[in-house]
Amino acid sequence: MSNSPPSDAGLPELATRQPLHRSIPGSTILFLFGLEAFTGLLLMTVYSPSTTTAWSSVWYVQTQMTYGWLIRGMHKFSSDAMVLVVLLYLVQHLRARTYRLEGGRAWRTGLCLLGLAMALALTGYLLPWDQKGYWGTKVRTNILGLAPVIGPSLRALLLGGSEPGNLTLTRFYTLHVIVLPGIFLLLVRARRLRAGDEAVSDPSDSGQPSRAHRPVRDRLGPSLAWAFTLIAVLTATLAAHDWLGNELLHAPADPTSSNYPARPEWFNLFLFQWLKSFSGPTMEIIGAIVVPGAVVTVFFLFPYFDRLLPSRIVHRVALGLAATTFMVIAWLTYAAVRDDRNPADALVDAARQKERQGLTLDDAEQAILRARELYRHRAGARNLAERAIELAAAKGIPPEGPRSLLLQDPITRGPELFASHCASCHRFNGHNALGEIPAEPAASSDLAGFAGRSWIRGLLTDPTADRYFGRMKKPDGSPAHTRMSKWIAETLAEYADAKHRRELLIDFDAVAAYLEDESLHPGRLKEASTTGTDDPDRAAAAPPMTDDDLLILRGRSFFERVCNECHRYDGEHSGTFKAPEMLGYGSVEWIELMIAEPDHELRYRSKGRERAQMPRFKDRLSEHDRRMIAEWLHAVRRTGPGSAG
Amino acid sequence: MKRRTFLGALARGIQGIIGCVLALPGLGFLLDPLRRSGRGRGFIRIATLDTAAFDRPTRIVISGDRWDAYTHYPPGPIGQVWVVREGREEAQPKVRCYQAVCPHLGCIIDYATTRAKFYCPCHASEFDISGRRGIGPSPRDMDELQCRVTEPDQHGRRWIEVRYREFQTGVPAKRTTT
Repeated sequence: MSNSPPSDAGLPELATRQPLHRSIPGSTILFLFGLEAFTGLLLMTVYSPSTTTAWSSVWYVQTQMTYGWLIRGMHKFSSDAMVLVVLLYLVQHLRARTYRLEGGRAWRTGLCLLGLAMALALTGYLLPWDQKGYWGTKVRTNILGLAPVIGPSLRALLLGGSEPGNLTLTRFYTLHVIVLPGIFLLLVRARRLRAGDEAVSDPSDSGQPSRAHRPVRDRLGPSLAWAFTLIAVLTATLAAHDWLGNELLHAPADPTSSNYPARPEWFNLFLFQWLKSFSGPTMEIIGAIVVPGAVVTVFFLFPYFDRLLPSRIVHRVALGLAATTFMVIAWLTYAAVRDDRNPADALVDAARQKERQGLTLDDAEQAILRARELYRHRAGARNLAERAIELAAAKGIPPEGPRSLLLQDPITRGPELFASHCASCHRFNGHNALGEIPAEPAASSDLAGFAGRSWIRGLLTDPTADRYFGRMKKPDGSPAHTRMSKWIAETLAEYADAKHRRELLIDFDAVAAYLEDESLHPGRLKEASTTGTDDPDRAAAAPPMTDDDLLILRGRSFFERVCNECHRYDGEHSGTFKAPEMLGYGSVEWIELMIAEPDHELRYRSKGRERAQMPRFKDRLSEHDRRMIAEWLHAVRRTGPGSAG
Repeated sequence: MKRRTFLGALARGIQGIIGCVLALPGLGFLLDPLRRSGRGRGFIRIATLDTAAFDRPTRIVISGDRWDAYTHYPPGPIGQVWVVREGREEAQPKVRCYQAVCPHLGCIIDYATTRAKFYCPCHASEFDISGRRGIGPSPRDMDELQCRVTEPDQHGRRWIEVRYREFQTGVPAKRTTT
C-alpha cells in the first residue's frame, strides 16, 4: 500500500480511506501554483521591472492587451486564494494531527507554505510600482528594519539601497519569479518522497484502503475542487473588473506624496491594527517582531511538544491556540476595517465644531476626524489613479515615466499648487481646491468658475459679495477695489425703472457671455460691427446666428460703449481710470500674467489708484507651475461657481 | 465498473474544460501583437517648398513622435527623406519624395552631385534621379513615399507634406513595416 493518488502528488495526503475532502487542499495548492505560474509567465512577456516603465507596462496589460485584465486579475486573485487554501490545509492537518508524523515535516511544510504564499503576494504587490505597492513596501521594510542587530542590513539588502527604487524592483522581481517559486517547488518535492510512507503510519486511520474505490474518487474530488477554485477566481476577477474598475492599478508611485492612505493587504490588516497599540521604538519591536515571532515559533514547535507531553493534551492546546489566534486575527482585521470606515457627517461636524471652539478632543473624536481624512485621501487617490490611467490612454506615457504625466497635467497639479500657494487668501468653492478648509480666513475672491459666464454675472450682480471683492482689504483695513462696486451701485440706481432695468440686466448677461467668449477667442470681436445690436428686434433681423451669438455680440457692444471707458482693451480706453486690460480676459495667458505680476501695467497697476493687494508670484513660482494653475483655472471656468471642484 | 469509468471520465472532462478556459484567453493574450496594425502616420509637414532645390535632390530630416508599446517619445528625428523637384511650373509645383533608407540593408542613401546619382555608401548601390536602381546589390528601386505640396498659406508659403513609411529591406517587394 504505497502509491499516493496522482492528483495529490507531493503534498502529504491523509489516510486513503478518508473522505474525498481530505486530499483537496493539497492538490488545490498545486493547482493554484500552476495557475499562478501560467498567468505569471504570460505577464512576464509584457512586464518591465524599472521605475520608469513598470507602471506603464502594467497599465498596458490591464487596459490595452487582449484579455490582459483577465490574466492579471486571475494572477492577483489566485494569490489571495492560495493564502486561504493553505490555511485550510493547515487546519485540516492540525485536526488530523499530522504533526505527529515524521517529526512534523508536513506541519512545518504547511507553515512554510503559508509564509511563502504571503511572501509571493508581498513581492508581487511592489511590481506595478504604483502608490499602493510603493508605500506598502516602504512600511513593511521599515518594520523589518526594526529587527535588532540584523534589521537595518536586511532592509538594505532587500531594498538594494536605502530607499525603494530600481534595484528594489529587480530584486523583488527575482524573488517573485524565481527564488520563491523555486523554494515552493523544493518544499513540495520533498513531500513527494514521504507521501507514500505517511499514509501507512497515519495513527488516526485503521484498516486498508479499498483500491477499487480510491483512484477515481481521489481524481474527481480534486478536479471538482480545481473547477470550483477557478470559478471563484474568475468570478472575483470579473467582479473586480466591473465594479472596482481601476482599483487594481493605483496612481504611479510618488515618493514625495505625503498623504497617501497606505493600508496593507487584507491578510496583513490584523498586523496593522495590532501595531496601533504599540508606539515608541521598543514597543514597536515588541509588537511587530517579538510577539508575532513568538506565536509563529510556538506553532512550529507543536511536533516537539507532542513528543514531550501527553499527546491528547497537546492536541487540545494546539487546537485551542489555533482557534484563539484565528479569532484574534479576525477581530483585529474587523477592527481595522471598522476604524477606517467613513464616519457619519453628523459625528464629523460635531468633532469639527468642538475643534473650532478650541476644546481638546478625546480619542474617539480624534479617530473620527482621522477616519474622515482617510476617506478623503482615499477618494483623492482614486481620482488620481483614474486620471493617470485616462492620461496614459490619451497621450501615451513619456520616456521619463508615468509620474511626469501627472506633473504635466493641469487638472492634477493646478489644485495642488492652488492649495499650497493661493489658498492662504483665495478660495475655490469655499475650500482650498483639495477639499480642506484652510486655517487662515479668506482674504480674497473665490476663484471657482473664474472668468466663466456665471462667475462674471455674479460679480455684476453684487461685486461686494465675499466671492468677489467683499473680503479684500487694503493694509489699513478699509475695503480694497471699490470702484467696480461703486459703479455697479450707481448704474443700478440710474436704471431703476422697470424697462431700463430689464435691459440693463440683459446687458449684464450679454457682457458676461461676451467675456467668456473672450477667454476662448481673445480679440475675435474687436472689429465686429456694433450696429443693430442695441435693439433686440433689429439684431434678430441680422444674418442667422444662434441666440448665444447674438447675446455675445450684444455684450461686445455693451463692453465697447460702457466698460471700455475704464477697462482697457488692447491698450485703449476712453476714460481716465485705468482698470485691468480685458483683451483675452480669462485666457491662460491672461491668468498667467495676473499670477506672475498682479501689479503689472495691464492689471492692477502699481502706480494706479487701486493697486494690487496680491503679491507677485513671478519669483515665487516657476513658470511651469504658474502655467499649471492658469491652465487649470481656465479649464474649469465653464463649470461655474458652486459646481466646480 | 461503469460508475468508475464515468467518474473517471468526468474528472478528465472537468480538467479538460479547465484547460480550455485557461488556454483561450492565454492564447489571445500571447497573440495580441498580431492584431495590432501599426500606427500609420498621416501626412507630416516637413519643409517649405523653397527648401527643395531644382538642380539637385534635397535631404530633409523628418521630425515626428514615436510610440513603443506604452511609451510615447516626444517629437524627434524619425527618419530622412530625399525630395526631388520636378518641373518649373509655379502654379502646380510637383515634388517626388524617396525614403532615404537603402532597400538593400538599411543604410542611409547619399547623393553624388558629380555623377548626378543617388548612391549608398555601405555597399555601393546606385539609383538615378527617379530612384530607379542601377548597379549595386539593392533588390529594388528607392522606395517612393506619398507626398504633396500644399496651397499657399497666409504668408504665401507652400509646404511639402509627406506620408512617412518604412519598408522591409533586403527583399525585391516593397512592403511597408509600420
